[in-house]
Amino acid sequence: VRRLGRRGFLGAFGGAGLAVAGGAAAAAQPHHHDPGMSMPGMVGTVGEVDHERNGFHPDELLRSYDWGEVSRAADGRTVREYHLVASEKEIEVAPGVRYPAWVYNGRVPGPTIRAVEGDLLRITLENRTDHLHSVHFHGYHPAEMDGIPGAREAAPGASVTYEFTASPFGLHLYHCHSLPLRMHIARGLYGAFIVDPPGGRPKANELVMVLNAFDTDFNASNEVYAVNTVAFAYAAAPIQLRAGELVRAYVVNVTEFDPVNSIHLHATMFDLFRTGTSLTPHELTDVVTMGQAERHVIEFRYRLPGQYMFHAHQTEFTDLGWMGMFEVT
Amino acid sequence: MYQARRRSARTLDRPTGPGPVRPAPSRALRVALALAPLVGLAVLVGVLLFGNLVHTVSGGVPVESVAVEDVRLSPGTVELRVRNDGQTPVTLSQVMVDDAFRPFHVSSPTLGRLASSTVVVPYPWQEAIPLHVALLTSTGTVVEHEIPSPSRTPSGAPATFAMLALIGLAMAAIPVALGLLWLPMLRRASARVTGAMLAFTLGLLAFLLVDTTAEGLELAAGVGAGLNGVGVFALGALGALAIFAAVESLGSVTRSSSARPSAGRSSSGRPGVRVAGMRLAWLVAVGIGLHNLGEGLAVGTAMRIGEVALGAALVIGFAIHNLTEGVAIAAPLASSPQPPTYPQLRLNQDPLSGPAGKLDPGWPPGEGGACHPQGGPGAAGGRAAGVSVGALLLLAAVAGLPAIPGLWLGGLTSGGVWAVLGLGIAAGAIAQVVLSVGRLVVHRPSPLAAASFTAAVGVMYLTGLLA
Repeated sequence: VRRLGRRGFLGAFGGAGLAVAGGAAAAAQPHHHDPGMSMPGMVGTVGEVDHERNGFHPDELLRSYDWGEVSRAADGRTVREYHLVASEKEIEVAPGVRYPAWVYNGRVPGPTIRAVEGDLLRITLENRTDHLHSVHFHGYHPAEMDGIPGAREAAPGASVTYEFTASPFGLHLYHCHSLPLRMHIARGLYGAFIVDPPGGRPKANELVMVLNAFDTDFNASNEVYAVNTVAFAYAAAPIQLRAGELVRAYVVNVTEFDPVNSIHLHATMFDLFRTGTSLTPHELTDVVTMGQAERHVIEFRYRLPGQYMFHAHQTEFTDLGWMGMFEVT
Repeated sequence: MYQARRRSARTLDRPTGPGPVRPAPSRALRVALALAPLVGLAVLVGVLLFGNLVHTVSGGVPVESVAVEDVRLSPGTVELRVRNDGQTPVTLSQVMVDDAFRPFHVSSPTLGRLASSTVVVPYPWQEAIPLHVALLTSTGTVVEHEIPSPSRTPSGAPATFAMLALIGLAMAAIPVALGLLWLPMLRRASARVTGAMLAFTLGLLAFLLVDTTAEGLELAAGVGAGLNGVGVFALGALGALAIFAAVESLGSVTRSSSARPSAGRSSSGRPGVRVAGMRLAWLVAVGIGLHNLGEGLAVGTAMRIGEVALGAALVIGFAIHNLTEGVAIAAPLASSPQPPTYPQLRLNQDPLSGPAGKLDPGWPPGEGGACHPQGGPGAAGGRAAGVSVGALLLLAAVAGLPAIPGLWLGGLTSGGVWAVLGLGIAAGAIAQVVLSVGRLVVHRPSPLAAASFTAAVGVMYLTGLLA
């Protein structure tokens, strides 16, 4: 939201001389309580998002992984083949508010690509739009697999294939790297890329949380914020957890236009594994701030049942859609 | 050369003369020819509108456009009156207050072209803390509205009406009347000084014209593209200019025809001069009255949108402003009884004002009355009778009281396009008075008059700063 200047508004009522500042408030304002805003998980939006029409459900974004089509190479290595399709699609990012997105496989964020360190990955991108697109992975790979202009960019109607070894283990991301870069990411061409350590991580209830936002009026500032695209989706339908169980969230920040985003959990603390590249936690905290494309693995437990809020501690984002609830039973 | 011209002139005079006689077209043909342009135009418009010709050029997707026409604040509630002033239907999906989504209720979320609706947002707004309201449409377009200093919207209760009327008296009518008290002092002044006073009046009015136009155009910019605020302003201004000019000329015609028998006596100039001064004073008073209507509108609107805390400063500024406007009315009255070398005489000799020597019973009719065939003591007596205390009070009322309905209109109703129209009418009316007074002043340019004109503009600027 771009704000109007105070002067600009006064100007609208112009020459009568409203420019003189000052003057104390005349009458005391009676205190009013808004009964509609007093339940846990209450949000400011009105109405519901049609997830079926979107073609993807918040739960699916949270808990589904694309492990690829698995085969064995001659040397015994695991080979995983993934198929991504870039297309254009209108999605509902807040109740009644539609955004003309660019999508991988019909969803924003795109499928969570998951593999084990050392696997050979083959990812094919099929471009069904009128623009150039690519897939650029974070992590180790050869220069020619970089997915940038001049290195495997898919022309409209064409396909390209990226091939590299999944490495290092950790939480990464992928996104389109065609130009203009900011537009291609902001429109929705991104997703989480999880490389598991060879021995895996401890068993946990795992969640994928992609922090994103939408500039619905295309003025280079966001109107709607969310975790996994739909504003307040997990406030409307809280994420179900069990008291005492280990919860692992893969948190990726792909917010454009705002330099930082963050995640803050209520009533608990989490172990922070920066970029997920170590199995030893860096710190115990309850808020972590992330620049664009930064991502972390966090692990936590709720001891007692109840409704617990989580949100960005850029509070403006919280009010504009980036807030959700855990329902611990 | 001369011959040729004569010949052609004759031909024009008698078109059926030398050439072959043309048969008159039949009645049917005449009717057909009379209707043909209308039918042809209808067909052309139809082709342009429905033949898709315009769209080949314009291309483009229609842009959503919504104007916030009015905001009403009551404890715990923000209410916006919105209008779709774009080319395409708009659906209001969400409301953001101070960069946060807020629950709301809207009477009809989808607005057709030029349709309006009311958005009610429960919100614990606070007095004097700026409010920023944004509406998010189904396509993600943002409609923003800023309330710089929120306060409870005044209701139309009798007490509010009375309070606004008091404010109107304080800021307009009373100061104008006070300004008129300087009339006797101005009367004793010399010709040069009264000429300068007229120039001063012209300066005041010229400034008001510029000021009102700027105000109107700024307000017009907020109306929204679909309703074309500038067009509405132009309609009001040019319409008012034409109507007031017509009213003035109508007055001249009536007077000149009724005064014809006494035309000979008017060569002395004095009665016509006196009456012209009165007429001019009325014109100035009406122009200032319309301007005060606009000022009232502006103050009322400001109070309604939440600048009520500025009320005291505004009223003081406008009061000083209106004192100078009282002087503007007094100036033509002051110069009227002077010998015929005075600028007012020029009015009667000015071809634009009609035939010289007309005598009139005052303006408006019935005001102050009689023609005075003799100069000297008679003129002095006429002065006393013509500019009575009652007449002065009436002048002050005409110039000052319109601020009250302006305050009511601005303070108690939604502004928007009507406020723009009102300011347009005010600007047109002032422009007409500027033309009338300007006609007098330009006939006798002098350094003193020029200095006086400039001083008036300066005074208006400075008193405007206070408001």
